[in-house]
Amino acid sequence: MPPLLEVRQLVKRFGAMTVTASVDLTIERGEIHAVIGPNGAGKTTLMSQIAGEIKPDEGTILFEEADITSLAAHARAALGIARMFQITRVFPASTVLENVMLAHLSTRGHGFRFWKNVHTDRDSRSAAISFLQRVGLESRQETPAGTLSHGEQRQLEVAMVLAGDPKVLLLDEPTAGMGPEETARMVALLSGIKGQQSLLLVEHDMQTVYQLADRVTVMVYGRTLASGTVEEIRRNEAVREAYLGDEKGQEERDA
Amino acid sequence: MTFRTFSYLVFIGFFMTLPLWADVFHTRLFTRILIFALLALSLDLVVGYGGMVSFGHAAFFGTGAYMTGMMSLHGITDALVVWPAAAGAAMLIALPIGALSLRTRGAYFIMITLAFAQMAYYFASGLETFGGSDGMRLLARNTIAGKEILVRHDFFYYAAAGSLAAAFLLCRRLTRSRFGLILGGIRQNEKRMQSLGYATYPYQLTCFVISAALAGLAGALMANETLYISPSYLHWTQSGHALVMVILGGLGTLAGPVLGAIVLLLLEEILSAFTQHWMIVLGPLLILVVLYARGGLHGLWPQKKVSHATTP
Repeated sequence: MPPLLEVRQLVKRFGAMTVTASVDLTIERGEIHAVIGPNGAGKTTLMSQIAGEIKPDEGTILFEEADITSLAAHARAALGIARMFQITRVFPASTVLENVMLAHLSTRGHGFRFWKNVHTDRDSRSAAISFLQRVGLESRQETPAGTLSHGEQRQLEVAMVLAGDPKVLLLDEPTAGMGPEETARMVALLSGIKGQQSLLLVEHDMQTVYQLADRVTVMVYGRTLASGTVEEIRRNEAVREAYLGDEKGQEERDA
Repeated sequence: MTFRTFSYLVFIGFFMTLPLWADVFHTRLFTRILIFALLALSLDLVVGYGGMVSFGHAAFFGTGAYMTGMMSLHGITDALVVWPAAAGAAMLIALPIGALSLRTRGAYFIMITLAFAQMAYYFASGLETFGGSDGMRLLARNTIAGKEILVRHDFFYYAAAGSLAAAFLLCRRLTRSRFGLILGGIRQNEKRMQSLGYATYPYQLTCFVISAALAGLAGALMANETLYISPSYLHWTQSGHALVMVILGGLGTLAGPVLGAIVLLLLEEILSAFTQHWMIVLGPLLILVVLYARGGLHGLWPQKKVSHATTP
């Protein structure tokens, strides 16, 4: 079976600096693919090119075997590529349930329905609640989203992108700015959708990546250093030197 | 029964029975209050729910009034025809005004709606058929199915109250519908709504036009109450007056603008009985409300408790 998303020989230059240097990447259906690498490795730029916010200079991006390299961001969103941003952007005055309903209804026809009460409409309500259950927020459905904690707002964001029924989900550092408890909850939530949702994950934290990912791509200075299963990456010498070596050294120093 | 339900019942009871015990002066005063409450309600739909601060609602209020006058010149005086026509005319005017104004946001939207309303004001001042800037008297109130029952002030009071109640229920359904949910999302973060896949412009325009219909109906009612139409209906102070009612009562609620209209007009009435310079008292009062009661007067009311409990 061909991969869901395939990036071939992608190149992006900002002036003299090459931030994406001939990167190859594939995402299979239902897998969690993590991209790791030190700061400035070009992870977020790569993700922006997949989402369509930045145009690559060379290379192709295939989604379900169709070339989407020149498609605009909203057209890619319509195909089912959803991006969750680092910055939280929920609707603060609306309740948690309303937030998810808004995300869900955008995929369910037009909104020029003036009469029927949307809060008692069983279809839109039960669907929204099922997404809240998946992220563990069903007990907060009547709370205004703006009063949730940062971690809960991130959980709500996940529910909202899931409610859009994407084929692939692009997550840019989902645990950024979270405390240990919130991080643990987010990791548990993401492992809960593992296997059902194709996911591209950009992440700093190695523990998170090892817990979640099926496959890992390591990037350094815009190029792919290695790509493979979690075990292969753990054993890879080049990766150890370039990236994990530091961390290992750090652990030894801490010990 | 909670205090909240109790206060609502007292409130509704007061307005239901008012013509039965009040004299003609007070019945007419409260008729005007109800009509302005309808105008404020229509404005709140745009400002409070749609997040579009319109400073030109007088244009639609005036269109309704002038439509009533124009039809009466042509011998069409039945409310069942005139009032829907007045609302329809306001919608027709609102469609191009809204379509152009909604290309801007924020302060520019305020200015451009104001500019359109001022254009309508000077246009009305130039209409010689309707007495130019002096305005024109209407011969009689509209009939209902051929019967001249609105001549009686108490019956007309109930017509105004019924219109307000119908508009209130309509807005209630509207704001709780899928359309209302989407409108709320656009008000809070238009960009985010677009990234969720919503084309925001048609929703905002629809809200603007529906609101204009209610303002037009209010204009027709006011023309009937005063039996007089003049460009003053379209003056920018009329738009400002309605905005003050909405903000005083509570933005983004349905009861708020109604409450705001009642309190503001009663205060004006009472204070002007004491002194000619009543605005000196009213102005600081409004500033205090804006400073210390963020949700308007309606926000001071005991609110329904939002349940944070786990639902089974």
